[in-house]
Amino acid sequence: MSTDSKGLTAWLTTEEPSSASHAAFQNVWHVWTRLASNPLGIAGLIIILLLVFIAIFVPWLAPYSPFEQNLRETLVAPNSQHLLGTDELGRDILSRILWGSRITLSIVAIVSVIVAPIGLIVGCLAGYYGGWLDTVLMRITELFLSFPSLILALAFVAALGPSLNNAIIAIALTQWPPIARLARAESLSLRNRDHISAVRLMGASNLRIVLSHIAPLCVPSVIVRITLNMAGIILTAAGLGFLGLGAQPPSPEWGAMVSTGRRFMLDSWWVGTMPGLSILTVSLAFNLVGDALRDALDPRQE
Amino acid sequence: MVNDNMTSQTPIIEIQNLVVTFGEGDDERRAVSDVSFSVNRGETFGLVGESGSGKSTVLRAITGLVSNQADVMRVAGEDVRARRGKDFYRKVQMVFQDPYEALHPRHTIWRQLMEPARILHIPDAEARGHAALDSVGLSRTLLWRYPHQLSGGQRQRVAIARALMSQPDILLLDEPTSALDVSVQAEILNLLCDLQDESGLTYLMVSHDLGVVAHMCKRTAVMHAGMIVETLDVDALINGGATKSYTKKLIAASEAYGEDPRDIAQPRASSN
Amino acid sequence: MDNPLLSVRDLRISFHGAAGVFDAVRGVSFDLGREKLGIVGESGSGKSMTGRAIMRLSPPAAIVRAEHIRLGDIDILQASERTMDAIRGRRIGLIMQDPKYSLNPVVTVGEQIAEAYRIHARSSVSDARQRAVAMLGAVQIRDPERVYRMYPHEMSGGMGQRIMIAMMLVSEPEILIADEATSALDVTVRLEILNLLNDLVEKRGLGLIFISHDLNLVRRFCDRVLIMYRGRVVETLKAGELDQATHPYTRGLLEAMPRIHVPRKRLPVLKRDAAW
Repeated sequence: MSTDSKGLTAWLTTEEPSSASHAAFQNVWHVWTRLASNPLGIAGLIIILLLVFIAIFVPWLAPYSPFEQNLRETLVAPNSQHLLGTDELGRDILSRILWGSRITLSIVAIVSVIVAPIGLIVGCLAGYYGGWLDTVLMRITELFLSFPSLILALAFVAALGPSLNNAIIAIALTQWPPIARLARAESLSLRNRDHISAVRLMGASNLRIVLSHIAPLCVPSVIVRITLNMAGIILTAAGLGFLGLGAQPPSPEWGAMVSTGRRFMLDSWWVGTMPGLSILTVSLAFNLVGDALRDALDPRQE
Repeated sequence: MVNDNMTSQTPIIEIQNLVVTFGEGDDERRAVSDVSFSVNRGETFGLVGESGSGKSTVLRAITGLVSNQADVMRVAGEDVRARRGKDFYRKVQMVFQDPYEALHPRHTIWRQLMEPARILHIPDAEARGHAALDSVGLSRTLLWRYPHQLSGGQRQRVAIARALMSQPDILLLDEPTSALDVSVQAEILNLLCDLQDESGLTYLMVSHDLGVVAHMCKRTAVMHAGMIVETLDVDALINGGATKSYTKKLIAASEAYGEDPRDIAQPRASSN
Repeated sequence: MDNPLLSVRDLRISFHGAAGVFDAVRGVSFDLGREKLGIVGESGSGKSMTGRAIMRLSPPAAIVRAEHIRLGDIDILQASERTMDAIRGRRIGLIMQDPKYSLNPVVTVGEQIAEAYRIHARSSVSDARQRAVAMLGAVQIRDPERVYRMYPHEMSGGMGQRIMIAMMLVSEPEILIADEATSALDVTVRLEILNLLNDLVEKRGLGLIFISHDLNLVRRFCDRVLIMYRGRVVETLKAGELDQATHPYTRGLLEAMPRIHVPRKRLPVLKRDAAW
């Protein structure tokens, strides 16, 4: 394989891939080119990558410690020393927001790792098998769906005790039902398709069909849905933080920061606004990427 | 057409009083009722009918894709009314109408072929995969493509190659060419004939197209509203040997706008 | 042809994609009179694309150019969107292969036909209803009163297609484009639909553009046939004279068809020539 860019492009776009991994690379490339043709999606992706970058390198990026108090410089408006000002304990808001990116990202990552498999498995089993299994699984799902997710998360956190970890678990518990519904709908339409019939005619077991034929085909829409839900997850986490049920002080969680800022809203607007804007930006970025992914992963576009 | 040497008179598929019902209670309706026929080893048997006649359902009932009752359902000497084991699926394979639908949209061609090998524990899968591709006339440069990167005819060839992986005795053909262009249809029909000549496959072919059935089959059953109207030789079907009014209507309709006008005046040459 | 209903000159449709420019239609010209004009070709020949362009229903990514597409004294390529709205469904009707996608699933078919008539004739509700029922009768639907109250999903393919035809005809168009309109139908039903279309063309003096992949059907049904291959008209023939087709593509297509009365051991396979 030639390594210069022209050779690489040819390798990625040739009509005759030479191996399974070659074909897989081409597939990824194909999705990427479609994603890349969507400027808003790219903008969102850049924001998310920036967030990841910040989360990794925050010890070197943040100008101050997020916890260091300076009671002589409380509630300082944004200036050249403190670009986004300071809060009521004289902590640098920019540093706290930068450190908060780690919390936000870990919420996002842990919730998706919990939610995607649960939703996918419940949905695919219910959709493929149907019958009583479908009825049982879907009634349970609807039970979770019938409460607003913030209220449900509140109830869980209230039962488990306020902490960031409990908040993450609570959010995960509220986020899988829509994924399960989605996976079920997909499985329902897939199970009568001819290519599934063809696999059944090879004598494949039901479990094999669900795991290696139905579930993988549901994955793209689940990814899209989770990405789109990410904004909601971040906002729920922020909401729990705001209500004092998520991350506990002095942890620089964005929602909790907004909550503190509320008290100083009238004379020190930056305390609440800056973390609020961060939440907004990141939620928006995930939404944009989700939208772009939906278009890029849709095989009907081909 | 079927090579006479390969046609022995032992039925490889025997079906008596097959009944398929869909729905329950008030919604229950019979898709297939009391269908009986038998197919001899090495022949091509046609099931002709219009949509909703239950012809495809008969195929799906044989494979167990839809539940059914029958007094007799013997395939390759075995009673398959209860459970169909892996052995059944080695002997019986199906080719679907729309090859794009029938292939896994995100698997490469090679993976489509290896899937039955893996499930049915076929030995020498790779060698057989290459042989299957060769026998359907597909180039090996296509191995790592996805179905959407192939033409309709190529897709149907892949589907046939996949069905051949287990070296079956019987291929159930569910309108295998009706989603294809005429020129591609000719290629696929020729391919099916060649495969039969080479390996003595038995075909049970469902079609709405009398031209295709006349080309491929010696005997055919005409289905209407879930029942077999009559079973007859294709020669008889074409030359006015049909006894039932529905069959006559079907032939008349096919000839009215379907046939080459030059042909109708002439009697069918009873060659081959 | 004197005074054709529709005149298409040098129609070209192209798409600009990642893989470069793709020419779907490469210079198609024809005139349509009060006749049944067949456009035959295999998938990808551009036949449907041509039909869509006449109604200016090409996909947004398509670049459509032509010397003109003239309907009476309107050039469809230049017409305003408003003019087009008045043309689509009223002066030119389109019947597609699957009526399911063309009918509103939550409105009864009768009401949809009545609605089409009311827009066209500005008639009263009861008038339109009567007219719709009559139209259902005209397309040979048994028990039109009952079918009037049915929803599209309750229709069989043939019935759905009759509904589509009824809906297109109720506003008395000059031109009807049938795009594979009978391809999904059973032979017996197809026969009835074709006879119905035939009567309508003769009685009402419509111009019918019959787009199909089925050469035999077109040669029996139409007056004139355009054979398209890869975006070009390779041959134009009187339908009855298809046997005298000279283009190897047309000949190849004719030969490749299985024939009920002429058994052959193998079907001749079409050899494609890049120069066509």
